[in-house]
Amino acid sequence: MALNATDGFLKMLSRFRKGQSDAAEREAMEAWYDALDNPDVDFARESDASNKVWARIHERTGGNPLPKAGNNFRSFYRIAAAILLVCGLAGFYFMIYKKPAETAAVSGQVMHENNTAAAREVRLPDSSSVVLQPGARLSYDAGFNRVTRTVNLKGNAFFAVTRNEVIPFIVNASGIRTRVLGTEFTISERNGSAQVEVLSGKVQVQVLDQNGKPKASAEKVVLTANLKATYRPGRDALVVGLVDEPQKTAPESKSLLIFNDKPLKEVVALLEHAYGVEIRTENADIMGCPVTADLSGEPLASQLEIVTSALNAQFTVDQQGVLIRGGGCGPLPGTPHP
Amino acid sequence: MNRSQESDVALVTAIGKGDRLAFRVLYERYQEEMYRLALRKTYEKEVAEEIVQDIFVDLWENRERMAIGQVRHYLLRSIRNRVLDYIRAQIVRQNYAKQYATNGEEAAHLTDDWMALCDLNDAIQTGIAEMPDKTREIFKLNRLDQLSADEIAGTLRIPKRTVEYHITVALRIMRKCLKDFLPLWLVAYFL
Repeated sequence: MALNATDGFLKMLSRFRKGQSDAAEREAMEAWYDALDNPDVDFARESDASNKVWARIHERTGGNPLPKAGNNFRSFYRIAAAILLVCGLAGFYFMIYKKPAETAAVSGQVMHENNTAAAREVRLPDSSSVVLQPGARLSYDAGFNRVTRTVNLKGNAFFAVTRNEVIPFIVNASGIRTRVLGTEFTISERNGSAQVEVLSGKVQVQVLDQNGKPKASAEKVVLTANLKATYRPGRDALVVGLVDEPQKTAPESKSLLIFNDKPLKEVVALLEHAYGVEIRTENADIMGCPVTADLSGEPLASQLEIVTSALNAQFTVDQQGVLIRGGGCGPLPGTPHP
Repeated sequence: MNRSQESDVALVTAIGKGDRLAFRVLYERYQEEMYRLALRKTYEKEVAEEIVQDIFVDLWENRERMAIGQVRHYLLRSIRNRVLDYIRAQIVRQNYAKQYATNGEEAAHLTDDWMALCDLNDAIQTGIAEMPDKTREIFKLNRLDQLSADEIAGTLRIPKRTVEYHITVALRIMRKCLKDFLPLWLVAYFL
């Protein structure tokens, strides 16, 4: 008898979809729609799944107003191929020894400049996407993505880098080098100082010398989600901190952020999971201290403030994440809570 | 610059002017929630992803003439509409296949809308009747009185977890009773 009601049901479904059901029908259909829910469904996705969906959205909305990095690259490639053909006619041996295609490619640069007043998105040959803010300029070697993935940036841009474990993606900008495998981050520049903010994944940042080579003396810092590094010219050190508005990297139900006499260990584990930031303590004993706090709806910095001040501790941020210093189990251990 | 803290309204306004970064930020803000909602109803990753994709493409294409007040509400509503379209298409396809398999059995076409609503209501009533008392009480508060799990927990003075558990059980029972109204592949998933 399954689906005997189909024809009538399809009509009901259509009315419901268009918002034309009467009250009785709507109530029945709402119950039906609720019942479709499968609470046991597995939400796990591959880490780049949402980026792939975005890539398709971008492709489908690409349209005319957008500059297509891929097209530039392709037309360049065609020219390079033509040169190769000419060279091939000129002399076979020359080709073998000199690899003119490579040489030709290396001499070429692809450049994107955003002279408009709005942000503009550029697609790279490896399908990474770069959103250039007004005034920003991005250039890269025409051989991009064959041996290296190196780009030069002036100005501010957001990067969503396609993962490639073999060829790291490198951005040279305002005296710093940022090296990633596949992640999302923003580089911005103001008054000569540069800043890298990481949205997801892991990036390595390094200070460059005047010739654009990494400084031997300078430290490399590795940033994970929600951390930023700031570089001020003339100083070798990169200053690491939390981004202004840390974004949760894992979805978390709000109710889970109310702690009632829970050991700090649990609070820390939850925040680490939610923000993808490592939280360490100087004093290992403090991890057992009970914490009672409602951290719902607070940004990460306030959450840390609430927790550490309850334990008379302080926190600092470095490239490994958050370090909680000092502190103990508080002046009133075992105070009863309602 | 970091634009991820821009309000929904500011983003929608910027998208209207063709700001692709704002479009991206909006996508990042809601795609996961949208995906999960779609997946919960369709159980197919590819389908859920395609639904999310279509909604954003649509949003971009209509950016100049859209008047969206509550963008989150709009996006979640769009998910629901597309889930309904998808299910409808599945049922139609399934019927078509079945019709051919049974060599055009006409009996199925005799049932009219009224019968369909009666059948659906019967199925819902059967489902409600089959629930344990506590589950039924919570289900009614949740579905008929539109109380949230939090509100029910407060009213009945029981933990929210317990409320959520009962709602899950209730939906499971409902699904079993409503199986005549679900596309076959959804039914197969639960048996």
